[in-house]
Amino acid sequence: MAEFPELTQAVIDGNAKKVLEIVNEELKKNATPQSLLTNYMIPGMLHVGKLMQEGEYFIPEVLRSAKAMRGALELLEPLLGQGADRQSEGYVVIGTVDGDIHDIGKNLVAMLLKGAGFQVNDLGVSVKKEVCIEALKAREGKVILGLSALITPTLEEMPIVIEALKEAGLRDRIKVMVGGAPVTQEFADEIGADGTAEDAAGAVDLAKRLMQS
Amino acid sequence: MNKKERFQAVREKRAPDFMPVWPRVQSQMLFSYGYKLPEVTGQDWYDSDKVTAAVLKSIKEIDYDVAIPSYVDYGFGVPPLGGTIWIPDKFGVAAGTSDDQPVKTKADWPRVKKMMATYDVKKKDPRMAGCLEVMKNISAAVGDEMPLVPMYYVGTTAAMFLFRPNEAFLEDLFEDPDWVKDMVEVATDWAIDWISAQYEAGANSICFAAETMGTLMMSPKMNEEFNLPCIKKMVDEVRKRHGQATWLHIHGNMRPPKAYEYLTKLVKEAGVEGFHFDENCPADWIKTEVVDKLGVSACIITDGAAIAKGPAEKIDEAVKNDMAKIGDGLGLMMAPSCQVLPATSNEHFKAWVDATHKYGKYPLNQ
Repeated sequence: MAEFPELTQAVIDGNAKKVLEIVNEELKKNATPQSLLTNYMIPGMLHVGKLMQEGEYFIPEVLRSAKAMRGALELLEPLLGQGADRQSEGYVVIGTVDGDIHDIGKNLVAMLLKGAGFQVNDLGVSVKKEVCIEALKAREGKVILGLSALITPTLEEMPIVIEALKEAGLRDRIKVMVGGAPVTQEFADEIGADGTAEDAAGAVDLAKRLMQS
Repeated sequence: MNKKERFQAVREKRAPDFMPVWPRVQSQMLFSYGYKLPEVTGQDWYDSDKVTAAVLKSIKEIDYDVAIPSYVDYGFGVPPLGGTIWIPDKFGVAAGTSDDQPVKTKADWPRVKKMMATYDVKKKDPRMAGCLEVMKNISAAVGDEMPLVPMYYVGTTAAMFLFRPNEAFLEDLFEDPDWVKDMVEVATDWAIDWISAQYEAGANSICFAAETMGTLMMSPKMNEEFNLPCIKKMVDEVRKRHGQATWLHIHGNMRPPKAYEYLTKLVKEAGVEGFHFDENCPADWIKTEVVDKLGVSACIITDGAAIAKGPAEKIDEAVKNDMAKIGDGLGLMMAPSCQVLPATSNEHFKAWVDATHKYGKYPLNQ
């Protein structure tokens, strides 16, 4: 079994209290927020994603780690904004499609993306296409749009949003990734999305690939 | 064979005349007959006449072999406990729970638990009362020749739908497992009473218990801790009260060793008689590892995309391919799972049922 630094292990264990304690201690010792995030916390969340892919972790375990990460990020984010060392993997607008209020999967992906260094604009659940377009217009350059759906009937919203991107003249600079239990690679290809992943950890890998493409 | 005899043959691993077919998700069934959900139900009402008409029309036109004789959803029981359910106004989505659940914090639990102790499942929620009315109507119309299956959730799924916002409940599993066990036990007792009420209203076949968290959302270890005892309790109570066996609808991939071990315990320890899986379990695996090795019956899950897209010739081909994978086919029936697009036309659905009956003639693959 691999041994991790204490902060990384606390993220993996989902020990929110311990994560906060260590982060506070390290900040007092003048550790930079970016280094805590990049060197300790993100590797922890990436390992959580790996454990999920291997069938060792399930959604409750990942949620627990994500919650621990979220608590520390609330503390670190304002500091990151002020620091000169802030790095970002990319910008992601994410939401559950119109007609679907399930958000556990979407929240997980958002948390893992944040944990992996992406800036995430989470639009919430049952997001109308107009809201997506508005959020994407507000950001220049390459942006990833993540669309989530748990229930099959709402899958039909995904191509509608992609069509709206084309109509708004945004499709060239927006990479669309779709996900959720009923989404398959075949479906993603069919509706003209740029990709899908089997799980939340895979979504992070996909987002990285899309930013590099 | 009539439909009851056909289903009984599957349950006993004997050859039916042809493979029977499980029905479509009920909200989609309503949608396919032109009803949006707000037209048939609200927070405190349920239009039994419209639902009866849709269920009967569906049985008659599509020719399923087993029926869930009403529209049942995740929101049953919730409004009288103080929660608000979500009733979508489009597609074929079932009503579900929202973040406005009855137990927002642990401080709400004593009040809700007390209400659960005196909850009259036949009267307290007008939606459930309406559902029972439909079951009586369907039983009177087709109960002599058709297996009518009562349905509700069990264990953690029942507790989550009845009491807690989804994400909060998943956190509770770690942060307060004893409380979760309390909620799960109360929810399962309530679910057993609700299943009993459906039998009294005319259900006449196996109990169909759904545990939709399955291995998608919980580890096999957690399932053993939180769900196995509840499922066993439901199986035992249904057998004791109504002389019926229980089938379990479960989500997730059951093939990895730990998941399969849990599946085995569901059979050997809890006494589950049959399984209705999702797309994560392929037909050939279900036949060899579940039916042949564990000695229980099961549904194989069809390719939902093929049914949605059609045309009939391709649906025919997909079903033919399914049949070629399952050897003698004993102990199996065909099911549409949860993942069939509501836009799937009744014509395509009918083509799928007809193809199953055509290619599923026994003896199979000889």
